[in-house]
Amino acid sequence: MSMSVEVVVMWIAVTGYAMASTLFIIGLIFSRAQLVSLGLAVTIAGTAAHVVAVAGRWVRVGHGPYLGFYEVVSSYALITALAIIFLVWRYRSLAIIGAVALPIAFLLLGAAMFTPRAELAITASLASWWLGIHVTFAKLAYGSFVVAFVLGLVMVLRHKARGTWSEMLAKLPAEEQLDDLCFKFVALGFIFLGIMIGAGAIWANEAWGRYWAWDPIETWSLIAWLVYAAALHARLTLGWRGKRFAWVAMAALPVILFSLIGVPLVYQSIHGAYLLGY
Amino acid sequence: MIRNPKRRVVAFLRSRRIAIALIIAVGALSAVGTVPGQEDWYTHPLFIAPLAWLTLATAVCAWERTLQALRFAKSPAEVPESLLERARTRPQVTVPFAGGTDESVAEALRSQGLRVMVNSDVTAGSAGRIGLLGSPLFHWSLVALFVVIALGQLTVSSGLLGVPLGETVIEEEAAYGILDTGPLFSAHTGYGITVERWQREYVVDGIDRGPVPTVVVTDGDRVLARQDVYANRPLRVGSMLIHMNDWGLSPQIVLLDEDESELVRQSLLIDFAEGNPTETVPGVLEYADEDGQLWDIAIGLSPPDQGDERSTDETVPADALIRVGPADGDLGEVQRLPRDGTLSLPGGDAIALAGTTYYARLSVVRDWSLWPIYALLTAATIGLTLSLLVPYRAAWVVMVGEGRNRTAHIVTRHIRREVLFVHSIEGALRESVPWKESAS
Repeated sequence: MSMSVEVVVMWIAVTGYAMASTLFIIGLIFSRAQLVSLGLAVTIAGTAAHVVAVAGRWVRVGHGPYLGFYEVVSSYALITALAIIFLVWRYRSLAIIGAVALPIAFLLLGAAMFTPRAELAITASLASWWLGIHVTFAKLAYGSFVVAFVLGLVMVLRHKARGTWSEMLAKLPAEEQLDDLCFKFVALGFIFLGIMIGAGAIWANEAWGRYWAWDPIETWSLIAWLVYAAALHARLTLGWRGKRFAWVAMAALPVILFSLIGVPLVYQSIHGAYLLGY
Repeated sequence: MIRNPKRRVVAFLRSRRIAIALIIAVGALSAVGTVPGQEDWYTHPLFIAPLAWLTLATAVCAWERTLQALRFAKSPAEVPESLLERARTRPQVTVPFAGGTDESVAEALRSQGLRVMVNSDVTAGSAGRIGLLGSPLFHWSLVALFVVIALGQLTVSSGLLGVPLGETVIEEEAAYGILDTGPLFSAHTGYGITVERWQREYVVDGIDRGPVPTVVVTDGDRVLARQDVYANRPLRVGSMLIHMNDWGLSPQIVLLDEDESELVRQSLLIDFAEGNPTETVPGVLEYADEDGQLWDIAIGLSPPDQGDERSTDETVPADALIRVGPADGDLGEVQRLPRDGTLSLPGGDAIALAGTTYYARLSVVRDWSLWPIYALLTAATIGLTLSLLVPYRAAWVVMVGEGRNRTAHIVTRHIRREVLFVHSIEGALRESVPWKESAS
């Protein structure tokens, strides 16, 4: 797939996410279940286009979506959409969470489309099978945390909703089930993030001769892990559940987003290659 | 109010609120070190002290989790009388159970993934007993990880060592350009580290890993290891890890007397200028003339272009660029010294350039803690996964009353105190017996 075809297919995905976001939000506000179902169909179509574009680029450049802002942020948008499709496939009554999740996917992919689409090559220090493990678990961690964020947000919205909104949100599973799901995704993300940090440390030792150097991206990944560790402890030992845990799951997401996407933009770091290519 | 000071300390360390605050505090303090100019923050007592405190609190937590796991690990069939009494008098949930049998209760518990044991008084089921290992394993692994990392840092040796192609450098303190050792570091190995071969281009899987030195580590005459060393492929000898850090040029300088007899032969390590592979940072030799006056000889090189075909894997067709001046004084004009040429020095001696080759700047780390750290990371991950994804849960069902008044009393225990668990057991029991018909 050529670059120009890739860009066209990627814009189809952006349009799909934008349309799906609109359908979900209108469906939520005006309590129209048909619009929500249509939003889900458009989400699947947009995600399919996104998968095609990412796969085409993967084949052309010879590596996965983990080098440069465009590839990295676009892949996080894709993970967001895939996570929501997976969740709705498992729990059909959760379809309305697309009203929260799809705008995230749309904004991420939209932002990625306005960045350089340079085709960065794998360098000698990146050429390791640890790269695959490290990146896979980073994306799985992000996917889990974004789902926990979305579940937390709909729990909070349901508490505050009045009028037609509340009719749609009332169709969501019971509070306890949402809370349990939110916890499970935070727990999964916490495990994945821990594996990502551990795999990164082992790989850093193989590539650079040190397993930990308090590099900003290492440090911020650890900070994100500690934030989620505190959240899990608050739930498991202090019994923070429901709305309280939902707020914690929501408040923690910016930390992991900053560590995965923001840090290379703010700090000069040995990890800069992965997002900025230097 | 706890008066015993020892108990007060333990109570302080086991406080869950304080532990959570401490986790957040360590996170916030970690962020301080990412502010530019704060690179030494992570060895500051204000950072180390909370970390040590967190380690102690984790150890206390691990101990408590271990006791809890041992308590819960008993077979659910061994029902304490207190629990039976609670099931009879204060159950979490009751289900009308007229017409239901012990076997239907057992079937209901099995449908929830529980292993069931029945005795005369109670039907008990449990699952996820292996998950009880999770939390203690995770917390003890973290404690051990903190301790091993700290001990490793006390005994580590880490440095950069330049080895010209074809030469051997003995691994000892004087050989290192940069060396950091922990306060309890014992001794260097005295191993010989040789760069036996040099490959400027070294393509693996379509990616150029070069330049790549072939490094040989010897103990006396015995070869311990030999390997091409490049990123992601370090050379391991016991706890010693050798990485390719960087590379430069190595001119071999010969000091000649007035009769052109060789006095000294020395290989210098010359680095390229930052970001400019066509310029070098001169190395400086000290030289004392016959009168005892000290001179500095600054030696740079004129490296060929990267694409120069005269360069081989062994030699570089570079001229030396020499500046000579009194020690601590101004250096003179640049004089070009070609290979095999000579240049007179003040006092009558001369220097010659015998040739120029490459040198490998090797990162040599000796850290015994590496494999234990990897093992503990693995154990912590397994523990965390077991703890979060395989939660221990158990349910006890006691029948109270007879005939139409027969009722199932349910008591459950979930390691995470999940409220959904008791409801799922209740739902399964309600589905398992025709209680509505029986009750009517």
